[in-house]
Amino acid sequence: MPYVSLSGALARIPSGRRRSLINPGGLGQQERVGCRVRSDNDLAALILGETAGLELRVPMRWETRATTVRAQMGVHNAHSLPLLLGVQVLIPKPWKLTAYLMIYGQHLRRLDVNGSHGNRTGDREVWNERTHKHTFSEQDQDTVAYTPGDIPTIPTENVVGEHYRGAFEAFCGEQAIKLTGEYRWIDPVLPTRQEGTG
Amino acid sequence: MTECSTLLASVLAGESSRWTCREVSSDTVLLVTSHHYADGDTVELMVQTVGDEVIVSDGGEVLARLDSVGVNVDSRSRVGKSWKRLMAAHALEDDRGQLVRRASVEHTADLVQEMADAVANLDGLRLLAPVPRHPAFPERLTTYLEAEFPFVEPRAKLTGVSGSPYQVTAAAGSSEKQPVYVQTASGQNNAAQRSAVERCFTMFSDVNGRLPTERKLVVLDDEATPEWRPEMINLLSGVAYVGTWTARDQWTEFVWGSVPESRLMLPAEQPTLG
Repeated sequence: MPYVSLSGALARIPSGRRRSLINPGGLGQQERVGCRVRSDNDLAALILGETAGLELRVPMRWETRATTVRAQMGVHNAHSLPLLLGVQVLIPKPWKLTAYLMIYGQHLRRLDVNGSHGNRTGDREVWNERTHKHTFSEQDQDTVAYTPGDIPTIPTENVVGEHYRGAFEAFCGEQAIKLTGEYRWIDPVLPTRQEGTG
Repeated sequence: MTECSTLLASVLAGESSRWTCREVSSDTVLLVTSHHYADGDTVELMVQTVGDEVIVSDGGEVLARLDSVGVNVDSRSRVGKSWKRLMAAHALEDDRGQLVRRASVEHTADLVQEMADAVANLDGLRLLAPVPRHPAFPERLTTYLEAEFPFVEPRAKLTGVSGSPYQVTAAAGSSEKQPVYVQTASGQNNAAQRSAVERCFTMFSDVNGRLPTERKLVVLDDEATPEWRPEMINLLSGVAYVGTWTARDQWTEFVWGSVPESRLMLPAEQPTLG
């Protein structure tokens, strides 16, 4: 991902308006939030923090994309930020699931089940077809991953909807996204190659 | 001074240890290469052998990765044009979204290396994607609706009694049966506000009769422009319910089906004629 300033839009507008992006309701609530967003790290911390009140309130909305089946839903949050929660399965590789929490086109967290990755810093850990999760920071963008502790496995053969559900809902749990309201899991339907994907 | 033989031996030893391969079907294997995308994810390739031909594919990874961050390579934008050029430069085929190259079996090794280079290059188009900005008000409202309601149809279509087609910001509700049609109105100055209001008024007047007032909502952007002229709100309330972004709790209940006595769902500080 390129370096894109998530908080750039905040920085470019006057402080009065800046408040309103985080808290369109006015200054009072921002003071209750108790956080001034000056950087991408601040914004990420705000979204991933305890006060964000993240909730997935709507059912899974799957759609067939070019090479994936994807569901992407808005996430209710206390700051009314345009947060998106996505989950996609590669049609040619049904054992590979990706789930992400995104704002302004930047993944703040991304889970790659059975994905391959190498950290370029620190211990230079390598994942070969092994579940890992990307973090985000201004310094490293989304290049640093770790092994999440509680994501159920997805087998490389005979994958069924419950496998996807387990991984997705565990990701939501890790991100403190409560599953509320009208949320309900719906299994994705992967088209066969003969049916076409595009 | 660095000694070439030592350096090469070290690089090649590291290189060989990074590649892995497993069979995924009778004629196809999955290769994990030593190449990486910009975010550190490793390039994986599917290699299929059919007779004397080898087919190397990215398994749909590149388009999936770009799509997940909102990059549309089909567009006429700079990214779309660059995509086409890179596809041609790397001699890639697009097989229903999968990037593919084919050659006779004796060229397999070269093909795999070239393919790994190619997909990492194409994925780099994310670096050229437009920097995300504060989303426009209709997009922001649509994202909000998508977080709150089970049914949302962005850019929903309506046809007026006159026969004129219209596109509203979104239709939303508890189900696709009888959703509320939501239209945004925003404007940085009086003229722009008036234009937005007139558009809403025309559209929702034209669909009167076909659509009851209880299924029409105008949401004013009162962040960019905190105050709207009372006569504009009055005009809109003749054909639709009217709310504002900052008072969205009020109209959220309305979209759920709780119809208030007044058509105005505004913050206390917004002046009205009534």
